[in-house]
Amino acid sequence: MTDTALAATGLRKSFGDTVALDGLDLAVPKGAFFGLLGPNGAGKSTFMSLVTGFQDADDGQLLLFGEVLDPADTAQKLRIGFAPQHIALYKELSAEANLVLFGRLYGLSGRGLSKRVDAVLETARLTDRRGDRVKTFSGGMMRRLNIAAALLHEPELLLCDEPTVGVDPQSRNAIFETLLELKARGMTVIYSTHYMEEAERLCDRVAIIDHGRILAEGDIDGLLDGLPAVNAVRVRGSELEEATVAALSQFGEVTAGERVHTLAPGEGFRLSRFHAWAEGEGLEPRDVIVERPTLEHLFLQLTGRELRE
Amino acid sequence: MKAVLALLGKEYRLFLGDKAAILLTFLVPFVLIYIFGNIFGGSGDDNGGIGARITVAALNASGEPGGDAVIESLEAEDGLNVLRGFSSEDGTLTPFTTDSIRQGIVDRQYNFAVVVPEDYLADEGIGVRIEFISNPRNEIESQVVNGLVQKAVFMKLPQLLAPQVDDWQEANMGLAQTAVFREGLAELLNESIDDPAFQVDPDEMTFGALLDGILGDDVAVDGESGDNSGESAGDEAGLASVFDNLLTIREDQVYGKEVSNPQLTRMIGGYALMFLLFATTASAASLFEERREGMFLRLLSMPVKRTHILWSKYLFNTSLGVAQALTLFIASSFLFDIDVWSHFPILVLICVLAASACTAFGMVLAALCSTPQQTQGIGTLLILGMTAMSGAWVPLQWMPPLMQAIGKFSLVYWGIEAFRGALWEGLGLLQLAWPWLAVLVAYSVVLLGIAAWRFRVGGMFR
Ligand SMILES: Nc1ncnc2c1ncn2[C@@H]1O[C@H](COP(=O)(O)OP(=O)(O)O)[C@@H](O)[C@H]1O
Ligand SMILES: [Mg+2]
Repeated sequence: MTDTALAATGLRKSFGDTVALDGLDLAVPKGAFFGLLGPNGAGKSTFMSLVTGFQDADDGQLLLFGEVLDPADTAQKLRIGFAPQHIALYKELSAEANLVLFGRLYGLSGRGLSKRVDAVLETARLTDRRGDRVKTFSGGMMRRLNIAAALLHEPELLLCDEPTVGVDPQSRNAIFETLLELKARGMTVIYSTHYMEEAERLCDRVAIIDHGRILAEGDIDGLLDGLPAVNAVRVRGSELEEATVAALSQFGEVTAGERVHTLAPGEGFRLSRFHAWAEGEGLEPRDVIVERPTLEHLFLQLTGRELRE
Repeated sequence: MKAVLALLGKEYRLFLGDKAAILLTFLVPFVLIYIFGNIFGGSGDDNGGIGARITVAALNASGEPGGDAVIESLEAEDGLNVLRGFSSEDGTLTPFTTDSIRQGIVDRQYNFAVVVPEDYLADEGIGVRIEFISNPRNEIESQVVNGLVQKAVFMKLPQLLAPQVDDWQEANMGLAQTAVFREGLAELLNESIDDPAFQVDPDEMTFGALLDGILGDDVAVDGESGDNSGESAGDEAGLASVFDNLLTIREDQVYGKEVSNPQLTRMIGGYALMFLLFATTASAASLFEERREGMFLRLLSMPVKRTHILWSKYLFNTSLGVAQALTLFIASSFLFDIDVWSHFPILVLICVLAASACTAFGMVLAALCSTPQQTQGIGTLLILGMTAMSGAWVPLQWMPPLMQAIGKFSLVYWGIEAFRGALWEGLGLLQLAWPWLAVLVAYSVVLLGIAAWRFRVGGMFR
């Protein structure tokens, strides 16, 4: 038995001249809530479409629970649930009719099917709207149903491709709760997003992907440990004396703003020394704001700041 | 198989949930056949003529009875509406003159006029001259009227020529000799018939008078007058038969004799196929819609194969095509008296095979094109081309040999022939199986194979 739910080595996939995956290596531990973070066009969806067997890789290997992934293998497909990036539901059919169809396609029938349909409707908090056509649903409701449809067969691995795009905060919270519940029950979740705060809230492991490669992978704390402990220091006060500003620059690069001076800590920055200095200068403690590094900083540092698509 | 059935069930659910689609599915064939049926063949009681009657103006300027006979026989034609003059609002008829009848065409009141001119007889020898004035803005109409006028003239040729024959006799035998001949002839007739009630004068012995006597007023000499099966009931009838027997065409139509609406019966298979092709190509284009919605991404992440999706589409589109084609045929039965019911089982089978082949055609198109617009555009082009070259619009025999040969490669041709075989010749399963039905099956198999292959390697499911 392996402890890895999904392992990718050297995955390559091109569409014509576009290289979508460029030798991607990834290992998702069993039971992890795994964030796949990347800007638009990074290759997140392409990776998922290789896992679900929609596309064939040009090169590389995928292992699902230790077995070589085979798109023709029905048993393997039953271990994976997939909520696509675009809402893939028959909008002219009711929520229930959609779920019944997908349940049948997952091989369910009879009472087993109706029990599962009831269960996932409950999970998606759509029980009272089960008979309504999907086209009458809000964006958030569709999103929830889109995920629910991937849960019918109780998969061991759930792939969610940007499941909160175009969703109101309430629905987003409902989705988070659902996913965390699933994780608590032991399901492995791969969650792609470009919202860093989502990843920070949900994921215990993340991989940052860009241009079809993994740029960093690990648990969030570990990844942030690699960054300087302080990301920036802001000093409030519009009338800082010139001497103070000059002295400030001994700690790093200073950017002057109208009300705030921002200090990018330089080499060998020590927060204790800075605080001691600030006290000596007579700065109020509430005027000094220390910014800790976030996933977003790591993300921007790794993927750059230029605009994508 | 379970996956195919589940997907097929989804198709029907989607279809049945769309009331407008259901209505259109069955209304469109109804409306189409109503329109096409009215263009060709009308209500079914006329025997394959052009639906509306063609108006022809007619004038006998010669005053000779032969000229009237020609016009009367034109009036007897079902397909013609013969005018003798301009009718005013209060219903009075102003007879045509040689000038006014021509003016009527100039004024576009009618497109055809027939005039038996004053000097319709040739000056020398034997012959007649009839004037046919026309504005041939419609090729087929012109042909039809031309043919009918020629027919009328030929049928009335003896009457038309009678004055000339008499003149010719007087001129060649001399007046005195002619009188002697006519006296002798009258005497001979009176003696030989030997009935006090039958007495003829020598001046009834002109050729024209003889014809009048023989033909009477109400015996029409036309195509069907060769009713000579009975015994000649006397010399009078015997004489009449001299002319009648001059030309008798015995018609022996092997097929389609009892067909109530021949024109439409011949054409309807072509309409059905054209309609099927358009309908199935449109529904094949719906594959793109599902792709756009990202549906295949989800379906293929399930234990569903590409072929499952294809089969469900194929079965659904074919079944819908069959329902629509049958609607078209059944509508034609109610609206235009097409005999659908006595061939119904074989008709259903042909509909199934044709719908299957057309569905497969649509799927190949969708598989080869990259957008629904491409599919529709190329589809329309191919469908119109195929139907035109397969005898759906004009008989195949009218086309250049190359076109005929190309036409025979299209599935439309084989479909049309199969429908015609069933509805026109009344052929059954065994007679139609080879080659027509077999070719339709072969088309389905080959086209589906191509579609499946293209869907496997092409972009539809990527
Ligand atoms: N079916 C496809 N055909 C052509 N190019 C594609 C296709 N799918 C993805 N790509 C390209 O591959 C790259 C990665 O895309 P994708 O995996 O969708 O990125 P992400 O999901 O991270 O936004 C992009 O440049 C995209 O344009
Ligand atoms: Mg994506």
